Amino acid sequence: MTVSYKRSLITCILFGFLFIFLSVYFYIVGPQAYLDTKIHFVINSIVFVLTFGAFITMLIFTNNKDYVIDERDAYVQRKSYGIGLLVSLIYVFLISIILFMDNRYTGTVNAAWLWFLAYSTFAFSYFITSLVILFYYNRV
Amino acid sequence: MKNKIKLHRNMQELTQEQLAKASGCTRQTINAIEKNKYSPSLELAFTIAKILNVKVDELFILNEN
Repeated sequence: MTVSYKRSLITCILFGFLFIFLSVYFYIVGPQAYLDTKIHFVINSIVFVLTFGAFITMLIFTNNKDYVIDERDAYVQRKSYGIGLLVSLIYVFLISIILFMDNRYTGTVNAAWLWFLAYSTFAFSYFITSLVILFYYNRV
Repeated sequence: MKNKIKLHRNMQELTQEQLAKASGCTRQTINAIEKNKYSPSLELAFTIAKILNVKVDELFILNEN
């Protein structure tokens, strides 16, 4: 297992967890209750900071002299970043269009949705890109 | 594209790890090339050929089909 593969695996687990946590939490609480109570933002922010802290720690611990990025790593990452970006754009498009369809007659969208969309897109893009990297590593 | 890297590597009594280190890539990349899962760049192909003391066209065979 190369360091690049190991990094992608840990990134996939961390941000996959974060994405699922944000989505499930937001689904259970609901947008209105989420906006009304400050504690939900605090809980989500703590989980976000912890996940990102674990990610930074992983980068520091895996940054040793054995870490070689060769042309195959570069090839896999180049292909995966393109696909990751495209899938993330599709994710944002789908959430936005669903919100539009649901709220087009009322004309307003709860602001909590924007918070969810911003942070979930962040987690989703990391998760999906590392997932595609793992897929390509198993293929080439 | 097929290749004879494994054959020439064994003739030179080199491990994948040693060949990888000499050519500046990872052992996994050498393994992927040997299994025809990944086609190396020209630069890496020439480097491997030089280490194994063979010509590039002896090491890599273009699949006619």
